[in-house]
Amino acid sequence: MVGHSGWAAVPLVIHVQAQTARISGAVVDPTEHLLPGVEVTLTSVEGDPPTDNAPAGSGVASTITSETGQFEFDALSAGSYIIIAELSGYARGVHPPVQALEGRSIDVRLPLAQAPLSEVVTVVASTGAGEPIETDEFQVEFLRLFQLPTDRFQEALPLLPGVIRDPRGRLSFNGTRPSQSTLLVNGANATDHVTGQFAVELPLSVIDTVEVHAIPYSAEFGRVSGAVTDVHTAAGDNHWDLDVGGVIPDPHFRGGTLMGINKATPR
Amino acid sequence: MKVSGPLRLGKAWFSQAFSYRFVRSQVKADLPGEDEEVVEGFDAFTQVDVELNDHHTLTGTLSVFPTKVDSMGIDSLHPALATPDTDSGG
Repeated sequence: MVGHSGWAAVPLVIHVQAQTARISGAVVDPTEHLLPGVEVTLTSVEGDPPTDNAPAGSGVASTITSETGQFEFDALSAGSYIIIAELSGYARGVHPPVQALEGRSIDVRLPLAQAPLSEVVTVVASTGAGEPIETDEFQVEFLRLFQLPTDRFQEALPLLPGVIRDPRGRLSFNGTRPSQSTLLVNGANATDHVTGQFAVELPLSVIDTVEVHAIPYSAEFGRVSGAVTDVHTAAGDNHWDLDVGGVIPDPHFRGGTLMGINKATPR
Repeated sequence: MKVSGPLRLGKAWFSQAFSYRFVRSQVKADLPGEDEEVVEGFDAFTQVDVELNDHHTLTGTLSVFPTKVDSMGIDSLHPALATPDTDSGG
């Protein structure tokens, strides 16, 4: 008979579920619309701090925002992270460091500003057949500083693509009359329902942006076959601002004699 | 003239603008009576913005724009007697 006694080795395995951190969020444009297809990079602050010009994708993790502009980084170690977002046409967005804690989820919202335009407008003067006699280039940023040659925004509309003034002085949007178009002021319809013409006058100084949408058949606008002129007014900010212009009137002469005022547009 | 600034720092802002317009356009033709179109108008615009929270801003605007036109559309084929004087606004 053979006896057997002793300790049997029983393996004991303990699974320790390591708690990880999670960072998710959304990337939006200046109008708070969600942006899909944005390359989002997560970079740890503790490791090699990212430089301002570090390319996207060089961090500890990288992803692309979904169709709804969402992104998510799972299974992260606790620590401090910087989120960088890049999309063509927008300025690089850098979110300040966020502190990821084990077992916690952080939700961030990262706005991207429109990238400044850098096109150059080249103006060439030539005799028509020979070599150009003079060439000059203007940065778009410089062109924006030009004074408008009018005191009414309607008169400046032909400066925009798709807008011309016909021989009778009427505006033509995308080949149609103003009565076939719509004027929106801060999103509200400001078209005269009787004449179809623009129903409001606005001081030039309150206008922030004027945009002509030449594709009217969109779900956003509708009820128009020409174009949509979208005017946004400028809001005040935390700084006081006083702007006065056009205080000197143009004299009116007739037959060499001063007959009063020809034009006065203080604004 | 435009004045803008804060009603309450970081919370509410206003913008107020006025402009006056007097434009005389003379027709270079030998017309009986008046030979010019005169446009006179006054535009006022007020905007108040209040930040309700981080994602919402309440904006109120008021615009007043009375305009008067004498001999509207006068030209060499339409003398003053055939052109209207209008007084409009909103």
